[in-house]
Amino acid sequence: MLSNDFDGVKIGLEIHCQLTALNTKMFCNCSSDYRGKPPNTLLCTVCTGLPGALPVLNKRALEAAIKIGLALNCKISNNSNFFRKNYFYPDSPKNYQITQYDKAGGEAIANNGTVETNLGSVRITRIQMEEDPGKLQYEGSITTSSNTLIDYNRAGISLVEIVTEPDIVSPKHAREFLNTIQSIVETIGECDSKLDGSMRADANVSISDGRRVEIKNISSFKEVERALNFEITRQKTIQAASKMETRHWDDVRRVTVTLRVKEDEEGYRYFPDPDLPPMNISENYIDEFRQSLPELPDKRLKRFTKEIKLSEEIARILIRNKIVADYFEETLTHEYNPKLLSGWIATDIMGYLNRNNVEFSDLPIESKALASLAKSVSDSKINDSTAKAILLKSLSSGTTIGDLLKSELDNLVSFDDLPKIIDTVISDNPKALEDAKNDSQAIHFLIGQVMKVTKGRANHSKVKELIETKLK
Amino acid sequence: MSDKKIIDAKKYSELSKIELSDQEMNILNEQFPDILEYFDLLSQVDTSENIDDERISNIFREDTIDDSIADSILDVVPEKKDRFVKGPRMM
Amino acid sequence: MSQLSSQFEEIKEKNQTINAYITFSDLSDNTSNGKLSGKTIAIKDTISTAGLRTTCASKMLENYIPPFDAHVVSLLKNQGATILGKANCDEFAMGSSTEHSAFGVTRNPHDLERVPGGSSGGSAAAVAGNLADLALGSDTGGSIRCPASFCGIVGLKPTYGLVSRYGLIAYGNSLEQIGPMAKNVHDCALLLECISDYDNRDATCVNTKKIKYTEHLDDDISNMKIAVPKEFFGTGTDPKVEETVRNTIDKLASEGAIVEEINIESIKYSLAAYYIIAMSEASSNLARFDGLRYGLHTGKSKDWNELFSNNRKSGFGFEVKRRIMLGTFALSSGYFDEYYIKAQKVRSIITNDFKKIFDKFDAIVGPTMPTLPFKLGEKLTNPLSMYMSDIDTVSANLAGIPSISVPCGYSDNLPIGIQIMSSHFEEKTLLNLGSKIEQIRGFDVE
Repeated sequence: MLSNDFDGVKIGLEIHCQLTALNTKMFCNCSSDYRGKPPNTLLCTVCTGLPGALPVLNKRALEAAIKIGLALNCKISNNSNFFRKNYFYPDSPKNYQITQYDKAGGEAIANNGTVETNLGSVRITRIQMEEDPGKLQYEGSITTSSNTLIDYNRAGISLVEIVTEPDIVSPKHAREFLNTIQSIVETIGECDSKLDGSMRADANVSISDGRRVEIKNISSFKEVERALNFEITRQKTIQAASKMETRHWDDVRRVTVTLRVKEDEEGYRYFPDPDLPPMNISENYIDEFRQSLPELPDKRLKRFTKEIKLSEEIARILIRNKIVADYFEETLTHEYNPKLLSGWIATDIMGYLNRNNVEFSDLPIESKALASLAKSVSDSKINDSTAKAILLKSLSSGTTIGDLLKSELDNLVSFDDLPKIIDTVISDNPKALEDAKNDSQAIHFLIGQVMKVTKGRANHSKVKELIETKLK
Repeated sequence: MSDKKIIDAKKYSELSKIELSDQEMNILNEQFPDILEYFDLLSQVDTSENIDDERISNIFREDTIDDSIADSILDVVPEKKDRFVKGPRMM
Repeated sequence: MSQLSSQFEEIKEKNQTINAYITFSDLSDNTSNGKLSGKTIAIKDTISTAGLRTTCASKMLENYIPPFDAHVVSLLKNQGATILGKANCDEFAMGSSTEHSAFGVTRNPHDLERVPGGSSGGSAAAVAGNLADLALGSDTGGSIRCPASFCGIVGLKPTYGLVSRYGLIAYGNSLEQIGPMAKNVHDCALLLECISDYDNRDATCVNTKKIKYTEHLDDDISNMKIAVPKEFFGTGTDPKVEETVRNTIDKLASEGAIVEEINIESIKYSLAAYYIIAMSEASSNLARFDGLRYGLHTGKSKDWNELFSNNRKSGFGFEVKRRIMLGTFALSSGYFDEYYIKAQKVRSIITNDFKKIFDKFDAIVGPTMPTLPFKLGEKLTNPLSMYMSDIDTVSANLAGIPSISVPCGYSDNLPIGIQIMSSHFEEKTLLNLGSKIEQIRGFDVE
């Protein structure tokens, strides 16, 4: 059985997305900037569940959830509320999690959305707000450690959980969908996905006739595709999963393993949290957010293909990452050559960065410099391939485009000297001139001879232009 | 109302993570049917009509940072290792 | 301070018999000048006090010293009150007799062989036995009013949301409020003025206009409309209690109040609805006590599962365990609709019924407790009979309305309390009527 045989595969995802733009935790005034902090330094009575402490919702958490809901084309609930999910676990300060629920009078903040991807659209079931638990550390591994070290700095961090319908048809589709979500939440500025652990996913996967298997603990989006590929192959090999179960993605061994569950789903005893009054959200309030949303990736994609006339393929690569698309648009303000610039960015620059594992945000080339390179091409000072060579050289050597371009131009045979050289070449090759007059392709021989004589230091298009005048 | 319900205290002792002695278990299993029978009084009430509760709503706080009181929280922790709260083994 | 110190020694001496306090404070000098300067106060041990042990009368919190003050405690300190200590109660406020305490029973100062009521029995006994001028209690289903009635003092459960619950260790958090307890209505009103203060750390706290309750005690009550529900004199009501309460109601009528007997059918169901909701909430509220971050830690265990079970087994008393089991049951799948959801719907009906009554009446009056204070141990083996003690008090908690118990007479030298309820945030009416009752009942509380 081949792992790329995905007939009958149905995948649903639950994406946990930290609201990283918030200053404080979801229900208390502790700083949410927990990364890299010494353990248990960002604590208060609320996030450690001290007896008598009470939660009060961070207004910004609600706003961020509404914005994400709108961006994923969801209906925002006018009457949303919080529930308690009861389960015991050492990372949970209260032994219940404040979350949202879709039964028993519960209503999540956003419901019934859709997200378009180039491999098909995915329906969003709901988006719910909830709190992150603390972090457990082991001396050794979870199975062997004689005790657990608990850090509650992360406890109470605001999350939204995005739950999809099982509309995803392949691991690749899952990856594509996750990239889309990532680019959306980044565009609206509520989740910085580059921060470690800011976006996590659980997947449920079933193949035709098989029962649903859940895979938990997928810590990064790259791992999602890998874990799904593994699980689908596993299920197909055993002729569909025989039982409904929860499995844990071991990203070191790259296998899914049966997970000893914390609690049965039906043991969670969900009920409305009496400490948190419901949220009555008016349509006017929602409209304010709708109007203030920035341009979202799918709209940008349309603008890039329709107005800027990029190919769909190139446009998709650019819009996948807000920083990339922003950079591209910035280059256009200096030199409007979309075709050339989009190609360089989507292929040459991103290819180079990927190969060398460099983040786009660390790209050392300023948009203005890249635009000046494009302008040199537009002005026929250098040709495409020279420009591309300069770009790649700048990336690998760190020399600025400005410096490379200057030495390239300094090195070129001046336009004043070119007619004389061309005349010499023509007089040396009289037959070629006659050929070129009859056959437009034959001009390349003459151009080649000029380049040979100048050791490639002539401007290709200028040479062509000058020879063409001789043919008339 | 004549059939008394039997609920198994053991199941709920596991769910609520409270170990019960055999004696406690027996007493509870003996008392629960009478208590539940009393609770079942509610089945006589017609609750088909929906009544809207008037509750306060939209109570939020601003996203501003307060000073951490982490040290005084750690003071009451029974078992610690450095700044970590020390828990038992997981498996 | 020396007079206070010697008084404090006397109180400690008296406490040997009454056992009203679990922990005494170090009597630190309160230099704040306020409405409570010179007043001593006992604080129920379900209310957090910074640096002063707060046990909830449970072994679980035997050594727990909170790092913060409940909002009400900060307010008391600002008003110059002298906190004497932490008052005994039923463990985690679960009980009606203060017999379910890991620190021993509290005795009723009127008869040492009888219970003081509960769960705020230590608070009531402290005030009744002159071990404090004032006390704070908390009332989830009658826990202020029951012991106030049994100990012959005044106790008021405020409207849900009038007093901040921040720092009150939760039992049934949709039902409970911290409230004042005192010898007389004036002091009760004064204490309520001090603790009813908006607090943005409790999202269920309501920002209302501050009222000077002490200025309304002598308001005219003539033409005030009083409803007397028949259901408050149901079977199980001691005839002596009924007679005394009805006599008091008659006196109110002769003072000009318009009294009318009514029916509120749904009251019959309030006790079952109350217990289901309170136990369900408790099962979740008390989940946090696992011994990791605070509280009893029993030591070595095979794994976390066993440690949690051990800590909770050793830390909780039997009544707490019983309620957690029942609450866990009522929330579990398969029973959730039949119990928890049903109880919430019945609660809405009761709330609505009370609302309709208050469209026509200013107050509802009846007995606080169906019986006189019972003997220690009398109801300890039959939990259902103990639960029945709350039959007349729980409806106020379900509806979120304020309610007061005021001493209105004695029988066999045991105190009897009359209960008054009013519409949301109409504490003024309760205190006004309570004050009138003090004038017409024909005795003083010493």
